[in-house]
Amino acid sequence: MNRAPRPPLYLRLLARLLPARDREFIVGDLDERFSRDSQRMPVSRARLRYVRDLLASAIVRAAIRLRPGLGRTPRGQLQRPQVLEDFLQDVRLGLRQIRRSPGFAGVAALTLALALGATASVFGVLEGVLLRPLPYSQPDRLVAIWQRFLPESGYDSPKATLTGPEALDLEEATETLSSVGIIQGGAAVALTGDGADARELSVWLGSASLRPTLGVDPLLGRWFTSDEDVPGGAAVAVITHSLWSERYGADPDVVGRVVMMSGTPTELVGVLPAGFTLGLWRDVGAYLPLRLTRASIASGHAYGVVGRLAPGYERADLDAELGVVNERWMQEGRSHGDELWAQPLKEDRLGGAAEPLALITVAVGLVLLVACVNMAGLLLARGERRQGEVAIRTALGASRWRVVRQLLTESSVLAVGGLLLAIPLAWLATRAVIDLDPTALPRLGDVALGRRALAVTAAGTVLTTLLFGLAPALVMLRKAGPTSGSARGPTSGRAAGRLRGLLVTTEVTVSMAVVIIAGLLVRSFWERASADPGFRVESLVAFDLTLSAERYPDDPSVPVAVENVLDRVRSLPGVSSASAASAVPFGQHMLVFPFRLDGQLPRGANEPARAAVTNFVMPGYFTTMEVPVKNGRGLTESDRAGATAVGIINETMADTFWPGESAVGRRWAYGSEDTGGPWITVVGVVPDQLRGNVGEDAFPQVYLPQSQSEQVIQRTARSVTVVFRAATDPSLPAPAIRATVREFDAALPVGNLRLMTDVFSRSMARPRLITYLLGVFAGITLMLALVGLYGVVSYSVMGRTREIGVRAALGATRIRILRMIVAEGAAPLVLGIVLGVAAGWYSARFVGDLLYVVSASDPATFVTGALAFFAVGIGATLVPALRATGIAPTVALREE
Amino acid sequence: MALGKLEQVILLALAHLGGEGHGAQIAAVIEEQTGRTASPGGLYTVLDRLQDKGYVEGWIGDGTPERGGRRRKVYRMLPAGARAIRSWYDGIRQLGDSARACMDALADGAG
Repeated sequence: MNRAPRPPLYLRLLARLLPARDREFIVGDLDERFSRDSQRMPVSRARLRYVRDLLASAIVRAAIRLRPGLGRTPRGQLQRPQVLEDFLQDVRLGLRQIRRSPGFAGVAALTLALALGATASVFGVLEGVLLRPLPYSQPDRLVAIWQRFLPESGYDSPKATLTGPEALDLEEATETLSSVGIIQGGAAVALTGDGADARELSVWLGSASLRPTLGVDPLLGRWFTSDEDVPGGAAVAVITHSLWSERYGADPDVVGRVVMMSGTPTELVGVLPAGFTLGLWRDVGAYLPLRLTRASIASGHAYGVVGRLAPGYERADLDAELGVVNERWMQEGRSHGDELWAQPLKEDRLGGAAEPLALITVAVGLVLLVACVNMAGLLLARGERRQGEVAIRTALGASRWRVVRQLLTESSVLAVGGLLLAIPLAWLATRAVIDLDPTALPRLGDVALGRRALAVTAAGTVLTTLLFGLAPALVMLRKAGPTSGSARGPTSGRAAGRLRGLLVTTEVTVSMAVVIIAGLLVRSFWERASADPGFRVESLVAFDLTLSAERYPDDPSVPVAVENVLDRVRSLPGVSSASAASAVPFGQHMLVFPFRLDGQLPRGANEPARAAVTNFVMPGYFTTMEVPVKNGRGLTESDRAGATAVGIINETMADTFWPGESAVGRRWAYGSEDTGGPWITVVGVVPDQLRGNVGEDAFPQVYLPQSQSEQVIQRTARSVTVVFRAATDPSLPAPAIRATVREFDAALPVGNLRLMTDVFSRSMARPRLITYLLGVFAGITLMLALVGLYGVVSYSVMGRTREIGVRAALGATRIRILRMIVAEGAAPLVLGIVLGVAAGWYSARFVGDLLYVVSASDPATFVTGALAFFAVGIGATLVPALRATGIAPTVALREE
Repeated sequence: MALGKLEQVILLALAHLGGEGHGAQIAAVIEEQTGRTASPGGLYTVLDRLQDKGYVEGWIGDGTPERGGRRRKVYRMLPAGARAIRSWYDGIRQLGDSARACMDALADGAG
């Protein structure tokens, strides 16, 4: 489908500026040129031309209508309607008011711009991350299939990946799924032989069935065939749009080219469309065939599964069928206490982002509310000063409606000013949010200010105009009856005074609540950042090695090669120790194997097996990570192939399976009694290490010597992560590392070279983003509330100048006057704080899940927040109050 | 009646289009041939004037997909318009022909 390019909606909204008589033809002409322009010039220029000529046309046509002499007089042209005349007059009046008090207008427009900019930016993120459909065909028919281990297994994870055979059999076993795709992420290849510099490429492995499952056709070429998706199949790769454009200059002839991937000649058979991704993170360069077979029995739980609902079936049908499959597989002895379940793919991929985004959206709504209230207060105060003017206008025969409309138009002029300022602010804010860390939320890197976000902002502007313009207009109208004809200065009219007090109390209440929530989040983030990850993060460097079966065909050669690389790394200057493991903290690999325990009766077919995260490590792993062995011993060189199988377990594993007793000397084994592996003896216990994010529960984890992996699970882990400690220089010696590995094997990719401090910090990207945003929002609402307080008190001081003067003349001390004025501001302040604390208390429970260590009712945060708010609030009232004490009796008398 | 500068260009463009064309087409010809952009607002103002003078006649035509289905405003050159632009063009050409020798001499001599 090749649709003509259309100019963005907001440009076409500008078309309303054109007189209705010509609008259709002019906009049509501009659209027509736009579609031609966008073929031959950058779209930004086409847009610029569009706006320029639209505005020029609007001016020319309007000018012709105002002064028909400029052009030709259209026959039978109507007079401009009175409504339009009035409107233009109101706009002129509004602009004149702004010119008269630019300070007021500046503050008003700026506060509004802050709130609208924040709103637009948040809605842009909301849309880009959450609302946009997934980049697959009919994405709502897609489900993620996971395995849930029962709590008795010890591995209490609701989202465990599937084993190879389970993933392969799922399509056969179900009628409700028309197609099942299998994914494994997190591998790397060295890309060479294509004329460009060698580079490591992050790749994902996928099954041939992914194409029909996702329903996405490559942009060029094709996806793998099932002939290629078997061991020994032709080496092929499908590359992503970003790799295609960055490395191959979007050359369509790239399809069919043969490049070297980790030393294997590989044909590039397809290019994926832009925006296609499996993991929703952008750094994948290519997809390779997974080549999973039922023979790979010892593969563990390592495969992600996506299914497409067959036509005519719904989620409930799938859930029911999965229940039947669970039952059957349990009886066949295929699974032990783990069950399959399905979740809509969108919920699975984006569900985690919903809660933080909901919080941010609510918070930005509150910012907008406070900005509106603040604006209403400002306009009210100013309007009262113009009471005389309004009275004269009504006296001269202006209708009430006409006056209200004039005041509303004036607010609209301010609102439009705010909106114009808000758009660049929103753009900057969106950039800042993305730059903070694009991985904080899925798809955050792709977020751009879209038309929907701008539409929301425009709607927000209309709403705010009505909200903050109407109330003061109505109050003024009530006061400005034809009887109050004298153009007196400000008075503190009762209705207006009450309304002002109410407005400020509202501001303080909302702001107090937002400040408390932000305070809880800040404290929680603090705790997170200083949490103990279970190993020493500083000066630790890691990179991934994937040893392909093509270059290292026999399994025993894998640990030898890894040891060889480690020796070279250790000899680098500044490296104090180095080791490797199949999974390191914050890594993408996680193997989970079920096992049985020695000394406990074998479990029946229907009883859950035990499972733990299984990690194969090279000698010196715990030394390098600086993890102390708390009980027993570490792994040594003597724990080699053929020796007694041994393992180290973490504390969670010890507490789960051997509570209250020493785990050292206990044994476990993988597989079934008759065909499974040998007993593995626990020789040591280590503290839990962080898996991914601070605050997640630890899983039982075992560490086995890499050299014994053949004998315990009949398999060698080919993807390992090398870790080393750079004793002196904490910066990343990337070129040295790459050179060292290349020296050993030029086709061995150094994947994802990273400093552990960076990874640790990145693991907190999401809480950091939420905390930052809430902190900024709390700051804005606090500032607005203080402006409001200040305004109320200083307004009241102005209105009571004479009274204060008289009091001073009658001998009231300065301190007494000060107290009197401050008390006036303190009333709404204290009331607002009390209500705000209550609101904070009530709403904190909704953010409880986002908090770490800190409780949602953390007394320290509530008390400190309230006291600090009180202190700055009193500070804001002190400024005008101090001014009041300086009023001399003579000045006061002169006022009249 | 003397022709304004934009009137000349628009009539020439209309003739270039075979005597008939809508706003965007006329603007496109002008931009391609002279490098000068004409905003639709300005264009229609002049076309209205030409219509008043009886040089062109305009009517409303169908929309096309690339203009979002919006209808076009189409203009056709009338005999009076053709005569006016032809007489202006002939005048200019005669002027150019007789001035040619002098222009060449001055231009080349200076170079």
